[in-house]
Amino acid sequence: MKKKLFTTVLIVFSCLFMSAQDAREIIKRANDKINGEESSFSIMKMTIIRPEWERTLEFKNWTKGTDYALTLITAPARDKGQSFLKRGSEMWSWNPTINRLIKLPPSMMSQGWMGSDYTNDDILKESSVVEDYIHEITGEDEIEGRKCYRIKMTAKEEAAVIWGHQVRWIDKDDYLFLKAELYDEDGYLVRTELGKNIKTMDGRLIPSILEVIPEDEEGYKTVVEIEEIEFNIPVEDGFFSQQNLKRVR
Amino acid sequence: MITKTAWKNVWRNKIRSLVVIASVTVGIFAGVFAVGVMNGAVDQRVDEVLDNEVSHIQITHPDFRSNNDLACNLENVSTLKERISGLEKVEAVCDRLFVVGMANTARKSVGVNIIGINPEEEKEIFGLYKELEPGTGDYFADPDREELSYIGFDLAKTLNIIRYQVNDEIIEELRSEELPEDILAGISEFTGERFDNERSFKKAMRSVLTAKQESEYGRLILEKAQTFRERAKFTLTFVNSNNHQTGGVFRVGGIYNIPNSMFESNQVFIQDRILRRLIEFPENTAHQIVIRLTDVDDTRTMTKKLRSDFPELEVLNWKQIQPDMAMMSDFAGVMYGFFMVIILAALAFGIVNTMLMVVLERTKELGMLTAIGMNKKKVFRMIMTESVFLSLTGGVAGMVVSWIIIKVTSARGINFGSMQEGLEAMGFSSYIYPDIGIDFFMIVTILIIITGILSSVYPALKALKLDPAEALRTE
Repeated sequence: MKKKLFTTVLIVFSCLFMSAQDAREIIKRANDKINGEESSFSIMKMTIIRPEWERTLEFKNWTKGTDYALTLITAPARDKGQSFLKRGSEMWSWNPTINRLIKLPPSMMSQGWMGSDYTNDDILKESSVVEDYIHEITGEDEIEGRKCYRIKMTAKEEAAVIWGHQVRWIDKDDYLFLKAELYDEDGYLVRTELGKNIKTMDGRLIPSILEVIPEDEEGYKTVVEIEEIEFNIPVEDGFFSQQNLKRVR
Repeated sequence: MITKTAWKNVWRNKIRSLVVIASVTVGIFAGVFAVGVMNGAVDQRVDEVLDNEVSHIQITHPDFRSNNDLACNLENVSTLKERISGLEKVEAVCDRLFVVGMANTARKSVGVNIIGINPEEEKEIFGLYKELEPGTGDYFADPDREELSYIGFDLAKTLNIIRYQVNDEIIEELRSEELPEDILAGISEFTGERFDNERSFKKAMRSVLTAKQESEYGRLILEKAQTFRERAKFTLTFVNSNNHQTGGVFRVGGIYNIPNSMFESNQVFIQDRILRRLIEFPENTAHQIVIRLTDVDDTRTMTKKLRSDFPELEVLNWKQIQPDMAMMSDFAGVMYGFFMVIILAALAFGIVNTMLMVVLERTKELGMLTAIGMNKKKVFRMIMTESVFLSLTGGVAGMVVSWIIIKVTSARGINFGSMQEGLEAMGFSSYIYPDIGIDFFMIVTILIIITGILSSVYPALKALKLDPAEALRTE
């Protein structure tokens, strides 16, 4: 009898353990899918939607690993030529109209990038979804007609994360982030992120539209659409330099 | 003899004299009390600056204040501190680190000054630890808990660490404060909802309360509905000494509540050794040395002395750091004087009018007095004394009343709750304890006597112009 109980407990625990491992593994795989590519070049369109107005930015984006990124705005004319460089945890911005290179100070890091609902902080600290959370599969749902794992990610006590927990939905077959809900420490929803319009682009299946919807501001939304993407393009580290930031076309 | 006659003359027309006296009483009371309130507020603000914000003297690297650059730091701080604390008139010394950065929570991010302190040393100099809001923490009681911080009430509000909720317990508490049932019913609609900021909660309140109810009970409800997430987490990000982005996760280990909302909304305190490690500073470095003197009146001489002792450093005292405070405390006396002069000038017209009536009414009598040999000087003095008596009686009564009322209110404080936001934005408390020195009463007394003299000049001159023979004949 005692032995039986022990075995049951063991099984239950190992199941819990395994599911935790699995959840982490799923997140890691999904994360690798986004960030694991050697390098990429993409053309994107970002639409910032506000209750009173709406505007669209177009930009080119080069990345190498998770450390290097360079973004050049191509439209509208007003912002054209502005470029951003990310190296490690730092970010610079080049503004051709005032002929100035600015290192983004902490104060600008948490403001919306180009007035969107994306913060510069989001752009800089993307890799922590694996390391800074405790993951747990809490169920399965269907999103966009695809079967998804629903994974609850609770922020680790000491992690430099402002969220209390996140719930992410990850496609079972292709490990795509299809939906994420970000909650504050009290468990109130702050932001929803959606991945939509799954397409094959440059041989990979990816959601080509990303939406960010802040919860407490009604009618606010940011939509990023990937128009074109190439993976593993040949690009040198030297491409991501301050000199190139001013030159890149 | 003249004095006695003048005093008797005052009471010949009781009603008229009493009216003038009453007007002087009210005027002086209003003036003195208003000055008492202003003076109380200024004194409180100065104490606040000295005890919580600036202390007496600060020493920094000469470029630190203008550049606010991390690299403008002091070295060999412990030797410096030893040298300073060995000086006479110095009560305590402590050092601080300063970094400008951002505080972030899930919803908000805001620019802050991050101040690295040694909590034990700080207690000797600043009284800020006493301003701990009950139930929010323990002000670095356990130095091993490195993630704890001490933040201001306003910052906690902006970061949504303090937010607004209504539950049965709060409704019960409000009921015991004798709020009408219909209001309680209205508020209880929000049970379970959470409001991130004051604005949204007020908006919700407005939907169930009338404007009158809101102005009457709004503040109380707001205070009760404030809830606080214990050990709430936030991140601080800033640039370290190598210009690299760095930061850490911190938890609220206490919230201080002081009248100065500017200070509250951007000063975050953490332990200095943790900040030093994060910005990669060597041991024995700091940005600022803060000195508290045994007597604040020695500030000027000590500043001079420290300046000559440490010519390579910037030594500033609180008056130089907060020139607005210095101006307020230095010129307050002059301003109060002006204030009283204006009030007395208005009252003087009333006295002139009465004295003029007195002179015209007594034309015959004055003529008689001159006819029987009273010289012009004496007539002049008699009228002047009468006028001084009028103003002084009123003035003394006014001062006595205002002294009593200042004593009574200063014990309990006057609550300017409805103006709290505005006052706190300027750094003033909404509870004001009126206070005024005895020297002010002496100045006022002198001013009243001068007023009495000046306002008698015209009527008295008029009396002197009377021709005795002519005056005797008037009926």
